[in-house]
Amino acid sequence: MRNRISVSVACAALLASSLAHGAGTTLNVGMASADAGKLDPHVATTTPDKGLLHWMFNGLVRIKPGQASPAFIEPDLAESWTASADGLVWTFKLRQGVECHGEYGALDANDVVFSLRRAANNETSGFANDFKALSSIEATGDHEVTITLSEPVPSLLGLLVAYHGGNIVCQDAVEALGDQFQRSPIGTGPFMFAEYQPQQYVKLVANEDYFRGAPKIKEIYYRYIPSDASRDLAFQSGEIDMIYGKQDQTWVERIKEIPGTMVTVMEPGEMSVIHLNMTMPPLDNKLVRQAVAHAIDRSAMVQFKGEAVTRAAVSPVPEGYLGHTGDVPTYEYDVAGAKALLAEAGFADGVTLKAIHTTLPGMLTTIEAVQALLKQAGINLEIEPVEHATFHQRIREDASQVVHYSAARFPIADVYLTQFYHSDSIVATPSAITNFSHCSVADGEIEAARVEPDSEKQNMLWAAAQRKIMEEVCAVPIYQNLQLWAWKDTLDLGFEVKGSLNLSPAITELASFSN
Amino acid sequence: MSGFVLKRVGFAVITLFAVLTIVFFIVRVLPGDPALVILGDQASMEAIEALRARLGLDRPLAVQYLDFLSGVVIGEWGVSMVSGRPVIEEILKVLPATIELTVVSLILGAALGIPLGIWSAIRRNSLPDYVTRLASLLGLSFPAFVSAILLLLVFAIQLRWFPVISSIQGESIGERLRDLALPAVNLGIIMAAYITRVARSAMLEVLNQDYVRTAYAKGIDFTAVILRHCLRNTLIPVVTVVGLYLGILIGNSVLTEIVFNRPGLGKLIVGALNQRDYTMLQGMMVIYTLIVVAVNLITDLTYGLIDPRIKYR
Repeated sequence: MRNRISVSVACAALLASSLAHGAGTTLNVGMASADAGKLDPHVATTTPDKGLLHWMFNGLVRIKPGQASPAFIEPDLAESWTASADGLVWTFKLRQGVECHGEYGALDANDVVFSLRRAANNETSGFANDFKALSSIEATGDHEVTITLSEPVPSLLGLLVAYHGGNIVCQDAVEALGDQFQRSPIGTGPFMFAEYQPQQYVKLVANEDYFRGAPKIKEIYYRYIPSDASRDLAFQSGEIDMIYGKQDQTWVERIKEIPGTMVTVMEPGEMSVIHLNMTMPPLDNKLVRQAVAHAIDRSAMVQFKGEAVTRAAVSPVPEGYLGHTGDVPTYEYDVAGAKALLAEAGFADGVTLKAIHTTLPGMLTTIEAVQALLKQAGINLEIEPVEHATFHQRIREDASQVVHYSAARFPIADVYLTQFYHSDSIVATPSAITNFSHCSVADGEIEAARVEPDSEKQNMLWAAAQRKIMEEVCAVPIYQNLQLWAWKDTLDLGFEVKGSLNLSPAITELASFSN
Repeated sequence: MSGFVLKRVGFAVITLFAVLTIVFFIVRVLPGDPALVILGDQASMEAIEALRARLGLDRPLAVQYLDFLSGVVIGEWGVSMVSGRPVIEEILKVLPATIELTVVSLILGAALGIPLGIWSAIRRNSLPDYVTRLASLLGLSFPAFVSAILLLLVFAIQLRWFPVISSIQGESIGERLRDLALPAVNLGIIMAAYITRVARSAMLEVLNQDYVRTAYAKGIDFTAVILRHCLRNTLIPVVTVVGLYLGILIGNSVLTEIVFNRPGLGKLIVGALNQRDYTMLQGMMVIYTLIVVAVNLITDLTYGLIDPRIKYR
């Protein structure tokens, strides 16, 4: 008995020492990923990598922490900026006294020029396409950068926020570190890279010289915990303070049960859309596409996925994105109407459609629910489940009649419209991105909006494009899934969190623990 | 003896070559494009083609294959296509964690399984036998990820004796053991279940042998008969199973590694497969093959230690 007591005491002591590690100034974050990828902000595309880099880098401008919409753009590395009347020449005045992490010195105009040129180069960046319209990027003073555009872009400032290619890297660090840079990234943000342990964590430490002030949190452990169940358990046991959530109502309900937990539902939404391939019969018949749209009950789908984390989608551009309109032709849930449309199209006995689909559980349950709904209207959806990487390749080969795709994009209408509904992006073509439906009805409006300097007219063009796409039923939007995170209520980020472009809540110099 | 080892090494080289060839072609036949995985789903087809060229994936398969084989021979395994870190470095960083987990589970499994199996055989068709058989059947049929979650719920959440995240950074032996305990028990249970069943049936067979009856007839004490006459002969099939299973265990530890957040080869290979990281997959296959070949060789050599009649030619 005495032995058992001493074992318990020893265990309690060990536990106490491990918990002490987690309180005060150390933040432990649990992320749903097995390991880190390339930690170079101009290359990283995955949610876990972007979420981490978010805390280490700045852009010329930033979206106010806690928000995701470009409507909240404010100065970051640039103190102020001016644009020429035609919107083609932009001059940015940089903040003085910004230090690169480590021993890489002060940040000046040359660093910014180097960084933006790097982001615009296909050899060094995954986002070069976004910067196509930047014809020159020059340092016009020690702390002044001038950007010249070959044509107006929907939002130059949007491209320059600390996101993807807009993240500013330090030239000396990139040149000195070479290939090592993607393993030990150097920025100017509130937190600095300190250590990487394979499959375990990346450790960040506070940048005491941060230009907005030294962060109150001194260390961040970004822990890679791929198992949903163990991530939840680690949060429950107090080993992590902040947790990346499953996009699932049951997760919210379960995690809320843990005392002292704050759950946050954030923008931008990831929209689930059923793309209908308009070149493959019977989907080349608009009546059939309309029947599909009428057969899907959005409110049932929202209930199915959970009302706290999902909202119905009616437009090809997700709600909350700049340029979104809800004023589009909608297709009410109407099984009889769907059947009538099918009969009118000459398919009174129903139709059979095929979808190549990923085996990712979250997406698979959605398509199965859609399958059940379509069945009632006499539309037989055959699902061919394949592993996720295979799915991405097959749908890009134009091999699937119906493509269920779920994505969040930079929240400006142009991005969603261009990638999914412009004819340049049609799959299996040299300039392909993700236009699975072969939609091309709104090319004119999308292109015109892209270069329209007047934002009111631009919004009208985007709205017209959305109406045309829905009129043609290139795709059927179903719902938007919001980003889910939870953290201990003792952690105060310093602002209200409504969204985050990089999909992780902003952790800045303001974040602190209240005890 | 040395001739035997040489012959086995020769076989190992041939096996390695065959495995590498199969892996090289299979990962490339699989649909799924590493360039697409790396660039993400917003990349244009042009950017994807450009990256494929940079990764050398647009070259003829034969050229890529020869390049790969020569790389293996001179020890150049390349860098991971996805993370950009050297393959060999990635593997060597987590290999010790996997070996540690496997060896400790094996020791646990043997320490539990051999005595239980023998006890169950001696008490054949009595209550202890039934209980042991039922327990080992449960151990075998219980999915590793379920038992892992149960262990976490009881020992990490309720009792709070062990952490949910088993780091491998512990500085003292105590910390390391604390991190290792739950994963090792989880894998050890499965191992013990296997060993119990094999040890039991081997013991039953030995107990029916003439020399055992003779030993009894000579009036030797029961315990001495079991320990001196039966145990050694029981161990041969046990060692075979352990050897066979050890290779599988290293591969199968993946679920345990994932649930307990331990770094390891299993997690590495699942990630590499999902991301179509060809260079990483190839490097891992070399390591796996070497491990399996080495374990088999050690198993064969162990037979000689247990049973002096076995000669190596």
